[in-house]
Amino acid sequence: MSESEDYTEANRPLDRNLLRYVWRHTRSEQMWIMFVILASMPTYFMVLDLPVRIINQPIQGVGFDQVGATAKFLDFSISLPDFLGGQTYVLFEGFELERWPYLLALSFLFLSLVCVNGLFKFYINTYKGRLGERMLRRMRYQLTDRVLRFPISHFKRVKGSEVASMVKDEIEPFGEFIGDAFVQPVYLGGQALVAFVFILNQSLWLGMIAVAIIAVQMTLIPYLRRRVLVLGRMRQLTARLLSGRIGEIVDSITSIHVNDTSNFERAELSSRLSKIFFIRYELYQRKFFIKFLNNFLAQLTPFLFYVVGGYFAIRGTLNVGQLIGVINAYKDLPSPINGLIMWDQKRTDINIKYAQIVEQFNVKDVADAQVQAVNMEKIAPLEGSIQVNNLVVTDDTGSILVQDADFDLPINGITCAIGSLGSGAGATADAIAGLLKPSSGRLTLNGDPLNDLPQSVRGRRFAYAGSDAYLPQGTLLDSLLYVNKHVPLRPRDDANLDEPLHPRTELEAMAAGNTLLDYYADWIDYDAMGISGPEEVFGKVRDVLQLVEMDSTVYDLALRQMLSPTDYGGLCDKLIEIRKELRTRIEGSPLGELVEVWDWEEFNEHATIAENLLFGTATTDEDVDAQQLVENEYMRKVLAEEKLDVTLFEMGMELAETAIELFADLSPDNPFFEQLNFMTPEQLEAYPPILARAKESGFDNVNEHDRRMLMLLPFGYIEKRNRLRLLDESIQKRVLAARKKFHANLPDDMQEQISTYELNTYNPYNSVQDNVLFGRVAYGVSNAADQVRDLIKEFLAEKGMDDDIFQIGLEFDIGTGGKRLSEALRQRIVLARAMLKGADLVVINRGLNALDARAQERLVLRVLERARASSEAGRNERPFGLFWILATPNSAKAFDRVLVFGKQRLVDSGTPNELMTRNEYYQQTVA
Amino acid sequence: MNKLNEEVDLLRSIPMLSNLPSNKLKLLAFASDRVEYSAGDVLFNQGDEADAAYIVISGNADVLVSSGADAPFSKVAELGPNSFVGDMAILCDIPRTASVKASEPLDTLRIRKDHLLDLMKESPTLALAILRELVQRLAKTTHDLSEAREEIADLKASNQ
Repeated sequence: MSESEDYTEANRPLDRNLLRYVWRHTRSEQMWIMFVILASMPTYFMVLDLPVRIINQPIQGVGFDQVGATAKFLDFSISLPDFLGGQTYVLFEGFELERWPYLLALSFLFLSLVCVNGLFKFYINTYKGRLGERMLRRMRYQLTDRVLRFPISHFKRVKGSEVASMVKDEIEPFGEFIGDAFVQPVYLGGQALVAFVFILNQSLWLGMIAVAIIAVQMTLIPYLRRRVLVLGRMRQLTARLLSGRIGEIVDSITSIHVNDTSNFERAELSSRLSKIFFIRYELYQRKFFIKFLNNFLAQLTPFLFYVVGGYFAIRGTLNVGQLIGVINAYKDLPSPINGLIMWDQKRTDINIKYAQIVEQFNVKDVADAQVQAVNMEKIAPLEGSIQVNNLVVTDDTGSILVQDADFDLPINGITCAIGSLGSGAGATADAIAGLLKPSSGRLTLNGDPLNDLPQSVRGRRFAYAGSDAYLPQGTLLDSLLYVNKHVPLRPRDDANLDEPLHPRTELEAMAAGNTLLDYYADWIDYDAMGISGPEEVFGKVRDVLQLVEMDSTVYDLALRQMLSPTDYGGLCDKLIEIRKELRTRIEGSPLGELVEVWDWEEFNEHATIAENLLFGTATTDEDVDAQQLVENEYMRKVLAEEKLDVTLFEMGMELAETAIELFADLSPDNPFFEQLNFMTPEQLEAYPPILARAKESGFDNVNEHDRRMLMLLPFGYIEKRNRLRLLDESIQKRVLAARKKFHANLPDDMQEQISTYELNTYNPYNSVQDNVLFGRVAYGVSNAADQVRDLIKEFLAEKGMDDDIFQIGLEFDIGTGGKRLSEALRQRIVLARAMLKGADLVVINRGLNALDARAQERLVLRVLERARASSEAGRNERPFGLFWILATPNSAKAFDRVLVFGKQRLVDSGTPNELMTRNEYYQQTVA
Repeated sequence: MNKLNEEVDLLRSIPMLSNLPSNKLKLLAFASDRVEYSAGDVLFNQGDEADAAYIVISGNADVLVSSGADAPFSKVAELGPNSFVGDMAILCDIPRTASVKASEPLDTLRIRKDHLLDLMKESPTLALAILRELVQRLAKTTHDLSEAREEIADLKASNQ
């Protein structure tokens, strides 16, 4: 990977013609496979030829007329054609064999030829398959490589899912074709030619008939196929639009829900599918019509042979043997001809598809591959300043985002810009970060154009945090370290791989023109982070998370994670120990009021009745919820034994009555419904008639459905929360008894569904916090949840578990696009990783606008402190420069220099004090 | 019949809420949290974001105000049973204007912001009652202010 690496191939626009593309990349392979096919021909023909010989000679006895006659086996001679003299050179005399050994010899020869022939086929097919797959890999790689180099502005017009559909699905059929691209026509053409020559040789006239029919086929079918090709293209485009549209539906799902436009979307989808359907249907009709015509023409030839040939035979001008020979030879003709036609059809079809795809990827202004060149060197820190001269940036409609901006931005300066949204400040920052292209004016770094900087310099010496942060799915730690992965720095450790790599991994990557950089190597640039290796990452990461005030969030995430004891065995064991200690500490102390721990012998008043009965957690995704418990026969039996069924039924009536009284006249979206924990607004509507019937007939006579519906309600009831005084001591006792009975004879299938609370076992279906707590946080105590969390944190810290827990928080899966985290947290992550990068200039374009103003101001100050004094307090980092487009202008007074933007222009600039005396906007916005 | 009735009675004894129909009071009681504080516990701090108002069921609490970030807190009022506190901040979406601290074990009913706002939308009498209460407080504050000003003026005069 030297710097002189050749990027001409990467920079060349994609070939518009698939065959040319394939030929350029697989010339030698195609030649080789052609050679192998030719080499396989003799065996192939011998396999066809031998049976005739076996039947004729040893079996029927031709040449074995006399007893003791022999035949030559494996004789090998070459006869020159007559015009070269017609001599015969005997190369090998062969063995003289009698009839029976001769039969055996020929049969075994046949068997071995069959094997050789099969091996040839096997080799050819795998070779072609590999060839196709390599090409497929190359194309996918090249296409995505181009996406990585598209100009940023191009992405406004591109739908991600359409690109994905092109790279993945539309290319797929190419793989099969590529192996056959050149071999097939040669091979089939050869076959057809041989059969053809044979026919012509037998009878010129009959040969001419065959020629005529083929000529008709060759002209008619491409003509008919024109429409098929158009349809094929339409099919491809509509399918691509469909995947784009489905991607849009997924992305805009919230606005579909809040606007009740789902039916509009359905109609749109249906109309799209209808279009696709009719295109495909017409395609089928035409395809099969062509097939029909093809078959018909193929059968027309023998018909003509019978009629015309038969006529000549009867007249005596053609001998019968010849006619049979021609008809036999013709049997071999249609399949190669059809094969050729099929090949041609596939070729044109795929060529059109290919052209369609290439068109989308040969975008104007694709960045030169050199800009993203691999650079293993350490990039020296930047110094000096960025000069902005008469900068004008316009958007794609031509409206001006910023104009006539003229200023110097020192790389290590502490600069901010203020101005309302659209004032031009943000556009300036984006232009400096290289996200927007100046339409005129100059951006230079110490005199050299900024845009000429390779990404290896820009991407490592600058950091950028914008407001729309998209984080790819992964762990929190991955997304933090992402910005430091420029080149593989340390070779991979095979011990870290889940499964060993294929030994040919690198060779194949080379054969398909993929990058040889090792994904599994350690890419993290520890040096840039100011640390010496992986073991220091944790401390560093924790430090920046503290800086952006996210450390306690990460800790909370960890407490809410579910851990599998198989992956975190040691940790889970420790947590069990801590659980036990916490329990002894809680017992009898005032903390006891905050938590009610699980106790096999006690009813937990802060948990639902269902939880009290189950005394455990559901292990399946579909919860063992109240609904299923009521319907579960075993549970019903246990309840009946304790006469709890009647009690629950009566409680249910009471709950239904209260709920109806309080909630019946509220709309389902009323905030009060959040407090109704045992019923949903939809269920509420069903209860009045149920309640009426139940009142009339009582527990014994009411129908099963009503009974079930009413028994359902108390399962979600929590005495301490709902405060309806429905649970007296006797009921609690009976629930306890039922709990014990329930667990005593738990059927096997239910055993798997429930993970019981046991003091000595880690419950993988509960969060870390619940596992440590092993109980329920009390209702009705002020801030109980917060107090308990603080207590647990304190306790874990005391036990030296702080780092372990934090580590789990870093393993949190942030979801697609980081959507499991709030936007404010995503912005904090982006800021944190900009700090991790060790950049010279950090550009922040309203990067924290999802946070409230006070938090923003606080973070600005914290980052400023870090920027100015990184070298203090034993930190081995260099101070860095800032260019911050502030969403909170109030923070401007803490910066060394302030740029004031307004109406797409740079209005003023100076120190905060200067601006305070002369700039009106500054005076107004900065308090 | 159940504990809610006790809380409903309590709610009814608050002047502001006394005109609400009883099923609404019951709903409010059902949806609110019964929260207990020990002496010294803080219900909320000045400057916090407001998400709930409180009705004191039993016990006493102090209202404390500080004039600046580092200025000491001074006690401006005391709350006894049946007092309604924290309503201003949730009505106007402003940070808490004072801190409230339990001076002895305190039993309260915590009413969430969106619940109270929803009830106000439905019941103009409630809205009016709250308005009246706030105006009375304003009148008292204005009165206190003018008295305080007079005192300051007197002090200044006597100093000269």
